[in-house]
Amino acid sequence: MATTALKTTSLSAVEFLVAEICRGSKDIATTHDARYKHVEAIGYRTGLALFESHSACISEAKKNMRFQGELDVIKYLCKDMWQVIFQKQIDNLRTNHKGVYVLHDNQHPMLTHLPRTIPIDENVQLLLAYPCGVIKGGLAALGITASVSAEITALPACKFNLDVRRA
Amino acid sequence: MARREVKRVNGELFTMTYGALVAQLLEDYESDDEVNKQLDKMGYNIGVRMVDDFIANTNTERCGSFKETCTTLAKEGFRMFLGVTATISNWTADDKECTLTIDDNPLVAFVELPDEHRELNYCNMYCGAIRGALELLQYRTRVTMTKDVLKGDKDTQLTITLLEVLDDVPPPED
Repeated sequence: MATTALKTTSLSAVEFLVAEICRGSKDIATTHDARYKHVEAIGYRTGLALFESHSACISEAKKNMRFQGELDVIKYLCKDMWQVIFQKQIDNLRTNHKGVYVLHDNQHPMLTHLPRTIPIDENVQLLLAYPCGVIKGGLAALGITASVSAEITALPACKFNLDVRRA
Repeated sequence: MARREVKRVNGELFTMTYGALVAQLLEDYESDDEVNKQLDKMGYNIGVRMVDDFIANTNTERCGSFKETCTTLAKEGFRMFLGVTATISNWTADDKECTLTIDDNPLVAFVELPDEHRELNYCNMYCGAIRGALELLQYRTRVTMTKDVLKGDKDTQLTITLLEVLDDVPPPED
């Protein structure tokens, strides 16, 4: 397959789209949980599509793919996948070696434009449902099932908690 | 003033997120027509925000006419946000209607329209976004998709029609 140079869009185009997805979820769902699931599902499809074989993303990132085990896949997510998607890497990865991983992103792209003083309420949680979904979908494309949640430490930093369910 | 650097991300992120959104909307809404409406509405809200972002990030001079505005939107706007350019052609004699062609439409990569969704205007968000952006610049317009690569056309084309130039609304009296 011919590899074309990867095109870029502005980060703001993605931000606006995601913000609209969050707002649009209110037309469909009435409870916060249902809205969260809706936004996460869109993120999940995105992550899955990005890292399925027909995408140029995967061929770009694949160069460094050498998996020994689960930890390698998570490392690959933090370095290569994040780099391909957001042009930065996850800043810190912690694990208890029992399937729980904590990913620290000190400058999360979806949060960089938010004013530092806004309250961390349901709307911000909804915004984070999207990257959580993307991670979940990206991992699913690589054969790992995980539950993913996000916590904001201090804007624009956040951490993603991954819990990999062992079959 | 120096142009601020616009942060950029992989183009596939936008393409795939848009695809995921449309797929989800098709599950959530009854008909293609309702999905078209929803995409248009979301586009409108995005277009309004894009104008502010565009002005904050570029040195573009104020456009003097509708014609100039459309040209800037097609060339500069599309390039800044989506990394592609669009061309404007076919102006009517009164300069109120034109055709916008997106040659390398980033939204339609990897997309095939299934037979049961022939009524879907997959790229309808463009219509809303352009209408929203122009309305913030005081041009009330109608924007419709006239050619769609997903329906067999050679490229994606939209028709922009100027309906009304809005006046500056004076602030309400106290």
